[in-house]
Amino acid sequence: MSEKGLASSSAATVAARMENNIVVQNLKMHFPIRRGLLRFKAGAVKAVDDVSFVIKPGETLGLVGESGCGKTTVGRCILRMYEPTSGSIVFDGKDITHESQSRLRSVRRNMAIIFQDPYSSIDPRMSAGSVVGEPLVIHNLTKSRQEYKDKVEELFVMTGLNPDMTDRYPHEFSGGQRQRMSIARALAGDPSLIVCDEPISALDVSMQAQILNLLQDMKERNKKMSYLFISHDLLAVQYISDRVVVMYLGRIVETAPSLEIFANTLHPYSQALLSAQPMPDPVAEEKRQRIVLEGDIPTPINPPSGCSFHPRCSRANKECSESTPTLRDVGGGHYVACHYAITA
Amino acid sequence: MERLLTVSGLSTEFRTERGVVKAVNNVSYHIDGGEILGIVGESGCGKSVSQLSLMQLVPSPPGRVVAGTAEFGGVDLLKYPRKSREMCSIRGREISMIFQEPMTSLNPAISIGSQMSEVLITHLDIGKSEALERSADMLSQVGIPDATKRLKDYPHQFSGGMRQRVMVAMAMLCTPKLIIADEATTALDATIQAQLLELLYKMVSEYKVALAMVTHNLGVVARYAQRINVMYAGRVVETGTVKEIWANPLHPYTEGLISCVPKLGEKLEAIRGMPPSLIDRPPTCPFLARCKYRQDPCYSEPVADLTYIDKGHATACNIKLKEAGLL
Amino acid sequence: MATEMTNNPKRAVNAPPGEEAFEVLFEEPLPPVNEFKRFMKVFLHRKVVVVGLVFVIIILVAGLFSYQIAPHDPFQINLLNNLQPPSSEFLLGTDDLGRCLLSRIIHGARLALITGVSTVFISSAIGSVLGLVAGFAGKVVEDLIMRLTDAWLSLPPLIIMMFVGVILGRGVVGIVFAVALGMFPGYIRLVYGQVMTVKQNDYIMASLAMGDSKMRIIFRHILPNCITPLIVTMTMSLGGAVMAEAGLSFIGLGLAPPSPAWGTMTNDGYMHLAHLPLLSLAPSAALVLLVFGFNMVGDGIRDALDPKMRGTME
Repeated sequence: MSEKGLASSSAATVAARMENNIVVQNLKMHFPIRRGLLRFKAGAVKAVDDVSFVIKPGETLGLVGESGCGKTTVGRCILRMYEPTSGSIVFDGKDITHESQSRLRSVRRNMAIIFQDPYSSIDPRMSAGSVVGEPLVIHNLTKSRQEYKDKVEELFVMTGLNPDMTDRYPHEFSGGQRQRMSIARALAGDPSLIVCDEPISALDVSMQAQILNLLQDMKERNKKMSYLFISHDLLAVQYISDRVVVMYLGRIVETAPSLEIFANTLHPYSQALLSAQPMPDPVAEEKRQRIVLEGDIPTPINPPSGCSFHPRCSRANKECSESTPTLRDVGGGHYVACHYAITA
Repeated sequence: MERLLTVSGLSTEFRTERGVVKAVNNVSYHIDGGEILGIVGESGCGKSVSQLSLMQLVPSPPGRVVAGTAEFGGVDLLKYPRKSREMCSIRGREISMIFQEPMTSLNPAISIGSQMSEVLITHLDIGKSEALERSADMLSQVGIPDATKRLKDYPHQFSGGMRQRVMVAMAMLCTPKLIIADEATTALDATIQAQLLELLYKMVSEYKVALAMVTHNLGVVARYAQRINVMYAGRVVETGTVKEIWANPLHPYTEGLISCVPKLGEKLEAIRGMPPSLIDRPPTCPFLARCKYRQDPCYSEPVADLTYIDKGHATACNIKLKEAGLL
Repeated sequence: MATEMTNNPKRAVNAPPGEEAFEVLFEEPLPPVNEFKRFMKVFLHRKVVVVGLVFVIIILVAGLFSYQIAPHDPFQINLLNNLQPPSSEFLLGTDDLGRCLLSRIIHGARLALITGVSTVFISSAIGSVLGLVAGFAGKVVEDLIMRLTDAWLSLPPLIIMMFVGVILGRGVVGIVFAVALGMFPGYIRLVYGQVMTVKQNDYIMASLAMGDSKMRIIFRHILPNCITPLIVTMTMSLGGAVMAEAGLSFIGLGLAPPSPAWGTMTNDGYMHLAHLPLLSLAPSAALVLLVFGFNMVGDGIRDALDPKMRGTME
């Protein structure tokens, strides 16, 4: 499953394609910055720089990082909202990296997205029922008017919404309920992958827990469905993910199974991130060692040389500013991109 | 420590199309000098409005403080008209606030130095050059490098984290007795939030300033606060020291809040349902519909006021109060 | 259990055979909001809007039923009876050709409404289509349309209107197109800006991710969300259109005599300002009331459709 393993032999690649829900290889997404009257290219935002990972059917991959780390861009590249600068994306055995938008339409039945903002993600001029039933209409998934109505009501009940409210307009729903609507809409087409882009960040604590549980329950129903769960909330990621990828400035700095990464955090950035996460337990807080990083997050327009984390890293030395560390296997599916990560 | 602020019976209402929203309903609490009080609750629970009410900053109309007193340094803050000289000399001088979005609290067209020195000149009656000097000193204390040079910069020239540092510096300028931080670090990234919380903690402990931390993040209060008020539907439903509340929550809502934070390997126990509407509430317990411990009398009895069970630990849960023989 | 529970509708969900049916607890929905009632409540909340609405209704009635309401034929020339002060027969007096001033103003209402409404419809139709095209077509078309719009807006609208008016002649069609061509670039900008804003919403990306076609997104999601500001601007610019038409008529480029256009009438009465000021002032007053009315109604609609006003009004 290592990067090298994926890239090397074509036979292995084909196998990887077939058995995984999504295979991302060396994905780069650079957004050009254009300046001046003639819009010459003045530089590029390296939002995603050489990212590779796979998601198996039924797996939840947590993607963690702070703003500007490229986690959202990765999610959108997978959905082909953007055309990647380079690299490849294979979804359900089909290479969709450079597929045209019209040919993507049939592929998209099998993917869905849940956004952070429960307000902006729902068209205010459509009734709640038609919001949820949209994928059914787009892909002609129901044969009759009655079947459509039944299916929408079923989706409402499944996600904990009152099926008597299908004719109401979104502004009559609270943030938590709107997020349930988003989930119901995402599930309508029975997708094999749902990209959850910070689905709980805009919600209140008690709603967050409800939505996390709802996402878990939905996976219980369809064990083949996988999630890409993008979040900055480590506690939520730890709870819901099977595997976690930590990103910093467009690159993966560490990836490991969920249990492993929280028990044995190796990359100094992951350690700082974990330490920055306030733990809601005063007794544990007292004992916990706190790492407070210096400085701001650099911009991805002009990332620092070598290891992009080195200006904020306490362990950094000369080598870190000169050569970029690559992900190396430390065993047990744990990979880390640091020259000096102390292995267990 | 001496008592700094005593709020009793505070009620604030908003008049809306659908009816009167009782955003803050008979809230009483106190803050001692130099203490850190966490005020936690979900959006719409009245945690911010209760703080804005003290400062007389509730937008009016539609909002209105309808009852209560707030004793601060021997005077009742709620007695002063909102734009009176007394109130203005308290805001920023005695009590200052830090908001979630620094860009809306800073004037984008005026340099940081002018904005900071203006605060000093207004409140402390000192000259421009001294004010600038003290501003620069405060900026460097909050960890802004090249403070003297940066006084000339405008708010947009600072990053989000740096702007919030500037807000901390402005709040600290006149060494107030109390700082109200209203979700001050919520909008920031995790590592930047950690920096800022450490800074805020360092500043208030160094200058012995009391801090009221309004937040929805239990982790933040668990790490820094000594006492917390848990608010729900416009009321304080539980108050006590952080450790006591975690060891022995006396209100089902507090218990629910603590258990709905994801923990590794455990099934997450969410509080079911949603917060109730604050319009035309019956006098029964507002948490009733979501409570897993509810008993038949809860449906008919009016909800109890916040009552102390132990020293320093109070709850507004009828069941717990009956168990303790207080209701 | 007692009261609060019975309010919550419960629903048994059919479970697969062998498993127990489970009950789902839903929030009790708030009673549905009557959107029309809410709209009217906010719309009629400000007194000045109600006054404006009354003016618009009066003038609308006058325009629709001018033949029934007007006491005299507005074109009937009676030189023996010219320049009469108000009397019981001629409530506002007569003009220099002896025509009944009141009847002419009532008939003028019809002209003002027809020209105003058609101007706004034509300019908003052209503007919206171009704005939509600019919002959806590629970069080149977008740039072309928007830069031409900027250029067009840099010309004084009066010059454009006069130029077009002269070319198209002094009929209703001529003046409507003249004013419409002066006004349409504003709609391009409005609709283009609106499309750009609506496009930013996550629900557009959600539809795209669901495999929705571009056309369906445009017609199902973007257009309906652009309509509100368009309606508001259209109402607000009715006043402007009527005013521009009157202005052109006043300087003699509008509707030719003997048509009872308010602008033309104001100009005709101008020379008798000293001894019969009503001849000029009465049509101007009608104009002022109509423009005021349109602006206030536009204001009211804007407030009533503004989502930010939702729930904040006392």
